[in-house]
Amino acid sequence: MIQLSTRNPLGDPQLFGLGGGAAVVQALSMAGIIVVGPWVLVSLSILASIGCAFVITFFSFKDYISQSRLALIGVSFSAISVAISMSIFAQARIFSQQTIHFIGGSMSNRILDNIVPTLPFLLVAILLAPPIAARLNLLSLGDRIAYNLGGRPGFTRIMAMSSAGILAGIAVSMAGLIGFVGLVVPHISRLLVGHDARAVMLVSAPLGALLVLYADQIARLAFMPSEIPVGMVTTLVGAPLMIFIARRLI
Amino acid sequence: MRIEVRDVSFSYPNNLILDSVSMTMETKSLVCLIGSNGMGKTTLIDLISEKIQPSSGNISIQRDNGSYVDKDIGENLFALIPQGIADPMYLTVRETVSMARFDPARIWKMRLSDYDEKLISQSIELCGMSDKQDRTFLELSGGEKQRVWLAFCLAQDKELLILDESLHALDFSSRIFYFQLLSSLAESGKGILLSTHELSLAEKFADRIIVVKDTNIVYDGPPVNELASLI
Repeated sequence: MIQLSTRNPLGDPQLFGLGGGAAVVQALSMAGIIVVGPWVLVSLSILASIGCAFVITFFSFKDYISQSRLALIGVSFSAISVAISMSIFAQARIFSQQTIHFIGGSMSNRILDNIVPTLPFLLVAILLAPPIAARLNLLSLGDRIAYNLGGRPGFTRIMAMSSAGILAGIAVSMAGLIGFVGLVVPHISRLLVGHDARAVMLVSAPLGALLVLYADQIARLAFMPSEIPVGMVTTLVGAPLMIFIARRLI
Repeated sequence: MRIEVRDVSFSYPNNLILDSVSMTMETKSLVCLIGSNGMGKTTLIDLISEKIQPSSGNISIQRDNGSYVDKDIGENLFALIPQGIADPMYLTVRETVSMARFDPARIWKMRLSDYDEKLISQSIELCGMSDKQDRTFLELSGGEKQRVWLAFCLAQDKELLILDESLHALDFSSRIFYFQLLSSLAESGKGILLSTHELSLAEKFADRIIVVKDTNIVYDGPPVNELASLI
């Protein structure tokens, strides 16, 4: 959704700052600055993430939402949120195993009960996607033409950013900052099923889950009995894949 | 179908671009919009294609049966190639042209109908791109890209085509091919408004030429030879 709505092959929720709000909320919670129950924490993370999506979209809006502006502002927000999270960790002096696992991304000690609070949000994010899936295709031709063909570029982009914001919030609150999945998986999907946004979205979701699942297995088993952050594995697997795809496509 | 621009003015703060301009264009004609850079060609096209609203005056589209088109419905009656169009990421020629048959309202209809596929093939063939339809935009020359965009317009199957300076990347023989194609399309019933700097070819192929200069239309009529002095 992000790659198409920004017309940028670099589109990634982490890179574009969508997970940033959630990361800050999680950091605050780990530092013990906010103490709340799991439902509230997940809700706060997702709200912060949507908030980020809206602020980024708002700043990108000047007469119209330009793709390059959206990308540049998103990257800046991402940098800000990482800086804030790190400062919170440093201030609270908690560079523990837990924070490393959050920065690197990890699913250790997550049980099914942790997921329950995210389910209603997940449902909303998934319901937002189908109405815009077809229109996302038109955005790849540029806003003028998309508009002329009835594509409603502004509306489509806002819906895509909202949905992506919710999903990023959920992902960060559950598993920390797992890098490269959002970037590389849509490109793999395109190699598999072509360029129709609807097909890419349908394939990317299970493919992303699969990549994270196997990366997690590797993270758990590679250096037994200690576990490395899963984000390290996804990045180590994803980055070479991305290099291969970039050389092939562009 | 007929586009009527009546007493339309447009200005940016302290900068008058068009001053009470009137023109019409009909289907079954190739109308060339000529003028130097910065004289208001693109502004006129942006106004007609509703990217911007006129400061005063109005623009209406009349059907052949005499009724006027209600713009609020949002029905698009023309295919458009805007200025400075960017290459679509990843897409092949055929995928790009296929977008023209895309119905945003039908969310999960993955396959195009046989009629759509036929129209896409015809459009690509007409623009001479059949043998390259599986290439991506990265593998095309500037002239070929322009032909793909024209095929994209044709596949939309609209009566009116609005093309803004879509010739800038073409060499001379490609321009002749392009003008011949537009001229034959106009003969077959399309209304084409082409903004161009190519005066000599416009004089040869256009049914009508409109010259824009210093916020006004200074010439509107059949191609004649003395136009160069007006620009």
